[in-house]
Amino acid sequence: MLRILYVEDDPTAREYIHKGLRERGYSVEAASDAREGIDRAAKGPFDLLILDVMLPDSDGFSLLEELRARGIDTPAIFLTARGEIADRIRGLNLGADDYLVKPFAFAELLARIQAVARRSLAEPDDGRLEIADLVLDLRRHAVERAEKPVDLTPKEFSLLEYLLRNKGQAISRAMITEKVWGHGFDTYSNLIDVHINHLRKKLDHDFEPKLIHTVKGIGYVLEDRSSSGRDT
Amino acid sequence: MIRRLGIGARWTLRYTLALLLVISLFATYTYSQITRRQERNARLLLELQVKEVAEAVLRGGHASEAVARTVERSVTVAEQDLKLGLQVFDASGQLVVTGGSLERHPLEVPPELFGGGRDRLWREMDFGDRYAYLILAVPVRGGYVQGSLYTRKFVRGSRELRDIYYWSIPLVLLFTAGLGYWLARGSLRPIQEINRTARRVSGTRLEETIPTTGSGDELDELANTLNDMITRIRESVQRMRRFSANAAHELRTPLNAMRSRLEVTLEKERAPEEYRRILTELADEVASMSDSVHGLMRLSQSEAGLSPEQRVSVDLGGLLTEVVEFFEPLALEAGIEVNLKVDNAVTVPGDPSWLHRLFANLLHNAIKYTPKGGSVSLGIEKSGERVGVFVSDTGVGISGEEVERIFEPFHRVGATPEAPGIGLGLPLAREIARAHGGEIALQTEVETGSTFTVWLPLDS
Repeated sequence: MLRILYVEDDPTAREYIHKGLRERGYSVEAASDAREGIDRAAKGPFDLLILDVMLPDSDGFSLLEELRARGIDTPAIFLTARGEIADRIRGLNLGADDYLVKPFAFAELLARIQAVARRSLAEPDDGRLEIADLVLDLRRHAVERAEKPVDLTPKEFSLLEYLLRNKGQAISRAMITEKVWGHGFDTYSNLIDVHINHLRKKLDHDFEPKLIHTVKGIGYVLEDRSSSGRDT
Repeated sequence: MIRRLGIGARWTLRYTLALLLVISLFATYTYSQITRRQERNARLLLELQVKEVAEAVLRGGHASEAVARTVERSVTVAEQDLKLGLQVFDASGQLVVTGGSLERHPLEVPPELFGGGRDRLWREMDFGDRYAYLILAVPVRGGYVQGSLYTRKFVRGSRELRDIYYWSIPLVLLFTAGLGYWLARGSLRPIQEINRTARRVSGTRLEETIPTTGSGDELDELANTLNDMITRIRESVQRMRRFSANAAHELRTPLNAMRSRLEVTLEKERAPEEYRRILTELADEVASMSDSVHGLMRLSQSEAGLSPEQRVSVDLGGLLTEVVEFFEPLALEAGIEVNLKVDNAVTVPGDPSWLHRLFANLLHNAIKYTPKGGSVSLGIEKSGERVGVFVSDTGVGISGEEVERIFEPFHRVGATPEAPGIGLGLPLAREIARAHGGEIALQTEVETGSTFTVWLPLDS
């Protein structure tokens, strides 16, 4: 069970998100300011931190810096009411951390929690990402389905790589937009459907089992749902 | 508290002090020069008289008739107020001849003359008035000749000059200060006028302008600059008012619908499925309102401008390729051809995310308003210090009155229901261009198409 520390000063938001996460089966501890957050984090351990950027006694960034200075390197998701934090996030630890601008969809938060929690997975030794009979070779920059080469554009390749790295996890359209195309395209996350359709045509159209599935209200998941090799 | 001096008073004070310095230097110089010359003249005159007597002593001895005559003549001929005095001492130190003022005040033998080997001795004697007497003693034939001169006449010249300076300098300074203040006030009066108007205008009356004299001088320039500024402020205030009114309207309309909906739903008990359906619909409404809020936030962020650390060197060709790749599937589905032509590498300083957003908005806009079978072309053209990125479509074009409003927030061309967004795409594009020190130009013809050109400053 994923243990989450959630620091948020707004009581309404804290109550609902706390409740929502608990109902999803996460073990959540909530703190209302930076001091309490640090105290609880020190007693830890946690798998993930969800930090509001604007706290009454400090801000989420300083809180994380303080924790990192104490040797706690739990990945973090920042929640912010301001849009301009992208730069500060870049300065932190882009590999492990993420952020969401308020107002956000709860499903979006869930998708990010799963992605961040899984991001600690190691890079495959042989440079091959696989699911069912689909293989993506990072070194050769090639993709095969049922041992037949599939011709992908560079962006389709990146998109598939991202899905493969998060296989079995529901990925939101916004996450795909941000991670594959960049923050400048965030208003056009609905166009991701078009890109996924193109990818589906090349990967799933003539093959079984289907691997790319739509997750209602969130986005997509790459998963082998055939009885033989169900991926977790 | 000491009231701070105005510019006029400060100028006056500064120039008066400068003048005081110059005049003092001049006065000191003239005074010392004149004093020195007078003194030299007195010495020359006395030396001449003493020398004549000494020559007479050399010719006929100390007590000779010739000496007495010379003394007598010199004293008589010399001007009365010089009070020339002459006396001759013989080798035994006995006063042998005396004439002029020294008859009444015979001087002691100056001890320095003895055993010193000196051949002359100058001395200034003070009888109650500084430098009143100048005395010269010259040894001759064991004795010596002594002469004295009342120097007041010589000193008087420089004294008078000094007195003139004493009263005239302050007077001149006072006059200059007054004149300077008057001049400064005169030249500052239009500035005060401008200041008064500007203060009045900066309050609430933004429609007022500062009057110009039409002379085209520096003050007119200042007034014009301020008027330009006031105009810009006025425009931006009006834009802001319109913007917040529109933003409020944009959010209030769905909010109102949601509120009615919630209240009606709560009127009576309903089936669980109905609650679920209504809540789902409300969640969608809220999601679209969130999009509006995000859009407004991005717009206000780009209006605030680009921070220096956001600026990196951005390769425009690569950036446009990414944007085109992103929208290509959409264009294909809409039956529109997208052409990108990039000949050489061009880099601009900027934020890649913001520039992505700029060109994404323009390209999306072009695809949205181009009918099936049309095409959208993108390309880069260099022009001097700037680079222009054009996004040209064969779309519906924009009519004359729309052109004016197309960059205003919440304005939707044609306002078709299938056109997504809340009309912030183009305003955001323009604000991003401006944040990068650039501008967007628009050429358009109804039924033929539009070309948006983004002009950005090149990497220096």
